[in-house]
Amino acid sequence: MSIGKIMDFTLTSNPQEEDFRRRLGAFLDRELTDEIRRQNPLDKGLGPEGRAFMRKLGAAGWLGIGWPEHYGGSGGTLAHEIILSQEFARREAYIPNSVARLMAGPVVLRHGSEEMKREFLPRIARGEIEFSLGYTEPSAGSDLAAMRMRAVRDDNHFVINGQKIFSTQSHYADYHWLAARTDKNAPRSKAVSLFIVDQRAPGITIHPIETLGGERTNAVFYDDVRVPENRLVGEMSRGFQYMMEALEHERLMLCQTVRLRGFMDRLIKYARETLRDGRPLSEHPAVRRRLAKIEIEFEATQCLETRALWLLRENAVLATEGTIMKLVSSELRQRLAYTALDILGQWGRLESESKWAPLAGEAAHYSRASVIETIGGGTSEVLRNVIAQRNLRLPRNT
Amino acid sequence: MDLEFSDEQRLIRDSAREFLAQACPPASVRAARSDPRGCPRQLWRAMAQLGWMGLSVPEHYGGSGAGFMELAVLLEETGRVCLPGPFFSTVMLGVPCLLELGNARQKKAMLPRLARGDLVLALALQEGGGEFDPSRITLPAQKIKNGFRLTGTKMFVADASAADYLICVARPGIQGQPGKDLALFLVARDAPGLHLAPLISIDGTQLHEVVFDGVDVPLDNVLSGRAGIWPQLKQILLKATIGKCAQMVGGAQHVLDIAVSYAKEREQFNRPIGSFQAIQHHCVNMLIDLERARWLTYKSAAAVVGNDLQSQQASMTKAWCNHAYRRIVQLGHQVMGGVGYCEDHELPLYFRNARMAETAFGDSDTHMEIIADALLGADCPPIAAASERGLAADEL
Repeated sequence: MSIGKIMDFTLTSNPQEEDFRRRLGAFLDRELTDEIRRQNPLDKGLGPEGRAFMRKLGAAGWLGIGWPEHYGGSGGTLAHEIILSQEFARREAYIPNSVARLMAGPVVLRHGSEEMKREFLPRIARGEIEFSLGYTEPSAGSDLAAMRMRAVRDDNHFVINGQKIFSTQSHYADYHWLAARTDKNAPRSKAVSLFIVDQRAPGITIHPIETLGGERTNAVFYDDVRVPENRLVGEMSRGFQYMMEALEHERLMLCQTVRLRGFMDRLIKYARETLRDGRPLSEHPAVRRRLAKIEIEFEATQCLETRALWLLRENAVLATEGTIMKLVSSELRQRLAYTALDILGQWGRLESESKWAPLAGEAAHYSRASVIETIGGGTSEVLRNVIAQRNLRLPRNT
Repeated sequence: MDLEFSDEQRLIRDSAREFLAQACPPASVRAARSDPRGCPRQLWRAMAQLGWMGLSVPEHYGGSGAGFMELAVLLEETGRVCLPGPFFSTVMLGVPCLLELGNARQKKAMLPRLARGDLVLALALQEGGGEFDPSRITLPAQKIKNGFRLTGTKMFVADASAADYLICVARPGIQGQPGKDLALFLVARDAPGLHLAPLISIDGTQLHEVVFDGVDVPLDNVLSGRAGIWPQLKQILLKATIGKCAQMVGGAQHVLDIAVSYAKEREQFNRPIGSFQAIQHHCVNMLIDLERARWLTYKSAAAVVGNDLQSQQASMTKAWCNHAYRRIVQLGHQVMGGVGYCEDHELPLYFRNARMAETAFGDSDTHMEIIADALLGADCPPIAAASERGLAADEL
């Protein structure tokens, strides 16, 4: 027997992908400014800088990177999508227009009419239109199938009434990616349809909601809003199926544990440079322990993510890999936030605009913003149920 | 990027798993506690016949010449059944010491016998303070005619009673003055002056305090290097650490498997307890810690093969596996309730195994400090006394 096969944990496999990573990296290093970074995720609205940047991404063919060329995409592979996500995450930036790119676009591509594909996909790919997400309602969060918003057919339109909440980006998006109940009688999860709604249509009222993390989100009210029938996405009553079918893929792509590296490094640097009780924080046993602990969890979580991304690249059918990664990376983020606060002590509670705020107030902000991580996109409790039932095959509680 | 085992590696895994499931049941593990050999003779011979002892021994010494990934795969399976006895000591410590530090004659004399399973080795490393730092290894090896005389005590020596030879890490000196380098001394089990006092360990590992009361070692049985043996021994210990992690992953996986099976079968309140959220969440918490332990360990094993394993990486892996195995066993107990608390159930074997594994090759505090050093620099200047003892800087 010769020396056996070694596992290879590097993420790129071939020269073409390496080249793409290089070109993308050079572009981002040139174009991505702190102002652009700031405009998205704060979701106060992409400003002119953010939009100009988005159009440049579109012009380079990177917004619709995995979509077919005749719909405005670049015909790239999953490997390209992964590289794109990683290079943004490494630079602590977000790829703009995630609802359009990761949810609306792919569903339209898979299930939309030819007319719908031609109307929306090229514009998304060029960075000309933005989407907001309209799923959650006050009485339908984890239990999304309990949604009450109704879409009733009226000749060649649907008339929509109801309310959505946490519809982040609605105040500036062009279109609302909307889920509404179209069938009064069918079982709950087979009664929902998806629509693309013009966010400025008459009858839509948007109320701002400020969050603990500082992002703006919205409550959106629909009062007899008329939507043309050709804005129904795919088939009636298939909404839930469309929403769920790529969930593992979406969850995995949104993780990007590498995003945390920058903050961790700044924290380490701060610990080395800041004195407390006459010696650097980095010499205090409690600080050393906290940083070592979070570093270990970061490394362990990244290893698992690498494995999941490899499976995705290999076109494996994901079972619960995305759900597991969302669960563990969200909990890691929160532990990192508390690690930072605990190391920075009283100074850590100072916000960015305060005198003496360390790391430009990052710790205070991050601690507030990380609260939603274990709630949005699937609460940690629900995700654990999903993993238990689908991965470990433990029985449902019926 | 390639994150799958080869067919050969899968074959090793599957055949080892099948073999050990029938050849090393819990009863064997319990019986081994009172057996100084640590491993039933029949099981040892069967493993030898399967070529396990020679897996990493080069072909021209009678082994298979396999690499570290193959070893890791095999070790994971041994961990799954809490394999008792000196397999780990012999294969992960003894064999590498011979390979890295033995001269041609020593290798020729011992490696073929090791590969056949005819020789058992144990490493005597730690001393009274239970530390791993080489500066703390001070057992003197006094130069005498034709050899050295060892006088001192080693602690926590696993498998000493099973070993044909102990490999004693000691510090050669002349006329009472300790030298700056360490060396390895092969001490026969029946050497005059060698005394073993058994330590009763929580998992039944044959652990000993070993007293060297003027034990003479001929030059032929000394392994040394130009810069002392520490650089090579350090690497051997790092790799053994990853090997231990592989075993821990195997043990933890078995605990998860039996907990989930139990949760599906056991009924209370007219339903399987696995339908209760609390139980489901415990099982998932076990899974997410285990999977991270697994891939972190495989990544480190790949680094060993690539000759690229850094201390920090090994420490992160061991610290995480310590945490994961502990948590998995704890949650396993919660899921299995009263039956898992009974000694005739297999879960207590894993509890005991986890207690020993989490301090092998460094407990979490030790590893956290190594990681902190790498991230932040050392927290204090090197120990001042070191220069008095004439220790080389790279031994600190």
